[in-house]
Amino acid sequence: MSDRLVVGVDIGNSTTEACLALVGPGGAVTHLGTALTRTTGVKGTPASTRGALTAVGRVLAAAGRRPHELDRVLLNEATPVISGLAMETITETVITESTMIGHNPATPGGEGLGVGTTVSVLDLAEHPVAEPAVVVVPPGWDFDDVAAALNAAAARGVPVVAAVLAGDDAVLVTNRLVHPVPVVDEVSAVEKVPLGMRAAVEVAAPGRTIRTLSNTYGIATVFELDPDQTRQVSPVARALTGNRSAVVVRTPAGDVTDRRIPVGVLELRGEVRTTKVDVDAGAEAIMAALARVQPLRDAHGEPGTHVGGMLAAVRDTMADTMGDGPGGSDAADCAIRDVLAVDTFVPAEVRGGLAGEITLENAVGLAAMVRTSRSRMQAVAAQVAAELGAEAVIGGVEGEMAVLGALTTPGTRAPVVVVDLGGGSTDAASLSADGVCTAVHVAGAGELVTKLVDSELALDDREVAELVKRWPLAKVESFFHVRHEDGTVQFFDQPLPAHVFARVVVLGPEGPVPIGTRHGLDAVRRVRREAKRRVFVVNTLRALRQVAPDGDLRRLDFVVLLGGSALDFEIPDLVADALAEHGVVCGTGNVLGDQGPRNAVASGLVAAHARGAVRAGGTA
Amino acid sequence: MRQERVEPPALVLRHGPGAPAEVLREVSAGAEEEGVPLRTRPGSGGGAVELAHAAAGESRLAVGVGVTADGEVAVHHAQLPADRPALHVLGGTAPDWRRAGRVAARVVTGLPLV
Repeated sequence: MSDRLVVGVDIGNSTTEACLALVGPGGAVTHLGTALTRTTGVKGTPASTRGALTAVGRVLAAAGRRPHELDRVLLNEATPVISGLAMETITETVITESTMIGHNPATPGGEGLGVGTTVSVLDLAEHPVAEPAVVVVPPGWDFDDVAAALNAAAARGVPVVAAVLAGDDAVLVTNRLVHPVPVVDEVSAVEKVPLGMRAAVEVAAPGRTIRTLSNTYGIATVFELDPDQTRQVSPVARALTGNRSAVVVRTPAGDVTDRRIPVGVLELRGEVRTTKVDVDAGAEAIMAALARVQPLRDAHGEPGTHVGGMLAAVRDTMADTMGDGPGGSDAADCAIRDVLAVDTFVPAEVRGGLAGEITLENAVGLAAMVRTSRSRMQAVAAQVAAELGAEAVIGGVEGEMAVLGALTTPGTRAPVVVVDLGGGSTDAASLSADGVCTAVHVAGAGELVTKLVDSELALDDREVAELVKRWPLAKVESFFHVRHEDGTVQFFDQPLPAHVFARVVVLGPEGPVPIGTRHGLDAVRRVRREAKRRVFVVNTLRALRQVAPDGDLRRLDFVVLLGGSALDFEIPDLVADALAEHGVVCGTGNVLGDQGPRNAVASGLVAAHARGAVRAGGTA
Repeated sequence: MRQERVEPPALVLRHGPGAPAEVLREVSAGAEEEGVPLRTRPGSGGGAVELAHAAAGESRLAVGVGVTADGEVAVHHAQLPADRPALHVLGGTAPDWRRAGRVAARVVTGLPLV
């Protein structure tokens, strides 16, 4: 019997990989090549057949082989887990009666503190001489006219102490005043500023922040408040902290409230006990509750609450994707087997704000993982066999195959644990010295990182968030050079486009892409690294504790990182740093000595087949 | 007292003969709001881009603005290729001219060109 041509195909969450090899009669393996393509549809569903065929076609073409030469196609028993994400804000800031303006415009005018009564510029001519005026200017007013009106009032003897403008011309107005006063501009809803009320306007010198209106007792002094009223304005002061300019209006019942939104109760049903946890208690409380009920059988959100909606949405999407043909499942079949909760913050527009103020609201992100009862790989195998005219065999649990593939990494030996840092879930599989394999899957991986980056930077653009996750940052410092996030400078022959000038950019494969955020480079970098740490470091530790002997990480020897996210420029380092303190040897896998962290399962399928370990059955 | 010979750094605006006063006013206002000084000088003919590039060459901040008689506005940096201005406004309105002044100032201050 001569050498047989076999191809291992791994249909993953986001990529489909193939490994082509010749297997000799004695089980000797000669690798001929590998290929990679995007997974079509959801893995394990008939829609994913097309991607599998593409991968096989590519690897055959690259090796100069024809489909009819194939003896066998080896498919993985795709892990029947799919993951879903949801995010819910748990705090909300509300300004009532337009008590304050705190949007921090780029160029306020003048400096100092002005306290007086609000009056429209239209009524300024009739304003009583004895009363200090805070002039409110609606949109459409030219800066020369505003300055003339203010100067005229001042000449008449009215103490003009400050101004609030709709347009972006505070500096222009201030420069034309005989006696400059603090001016706050770009107040988009200036018509909502209550007139005839006591108000204070403060602008700090460039490079400084306001001192009076960000201090509770400063506001109390300005408005002569009693202790009870002072207690009431304390949130206003807090909301204005760190600004260069601010306006506070004294209204009878005005307030800034920072309230917690009741999100609902999450019910976690474990093998032995069930526990309930309030989602607005935060991620730490949820994860602690989860640890108490492990292993999780299912999770439910209280119907009619936000968390109920969150989990129902996750479940519905999964039921939909799994239900695209015969043998489909409905929502009732989908049991949530793991949950990862992450504390996050979402920049949100303040309700009742006059100038589009943004505050960071607390939020909880949830990744949930569903284990479905039905695998539809049989259908995929049948289609692959019919298309290629070769026998298609389903063999091997994904985790075991990944271990076999990972062991082709130079410098590894059993006992070994592989951690697959994927898109939807983080998976760990361990092979003990006596050949016993255990695999676990935990919810949350690359997609959750993208979602956290997207919402924390308020990008509202998944594509850009994905770029931020994948590539290092740089700051465009001139038309011809950028400074990378590590401080090195790179010059370009061709001028950089004007739309990236002075911006924080991602240096992706297609040139610099600007990030639409007011944050500096360091802040964006921190968000990116924290998102990766909170998902991948947390999940790797969670998964390893489940496969480690007695849950003790110190008893692990070799940990090999695999999967698309192991190719990331910093995730493997973050994980290795976290594991170093447990004395674990950890690194990114190099399957077959040249594939990096890719192709482990496909290579593992070939290796298992060569050993005759591929289970019979599933033959199409 | 010693006479200061070197003129203080500023943006330079070159405008063709008969450049509309409202365009010059808005461009100047844009630069002023950003806090960057701008000096206005009459220039010869030529397109806005040409005027702007010449102005950028004269500016100690290496940034210039060109305005033509028909209200065309360009913002240029001395290091940019002559035919690739940082901004070129054709047939704009008051907010566009104001923005041109702001963009010129922001090239100097190193802020995003909004």
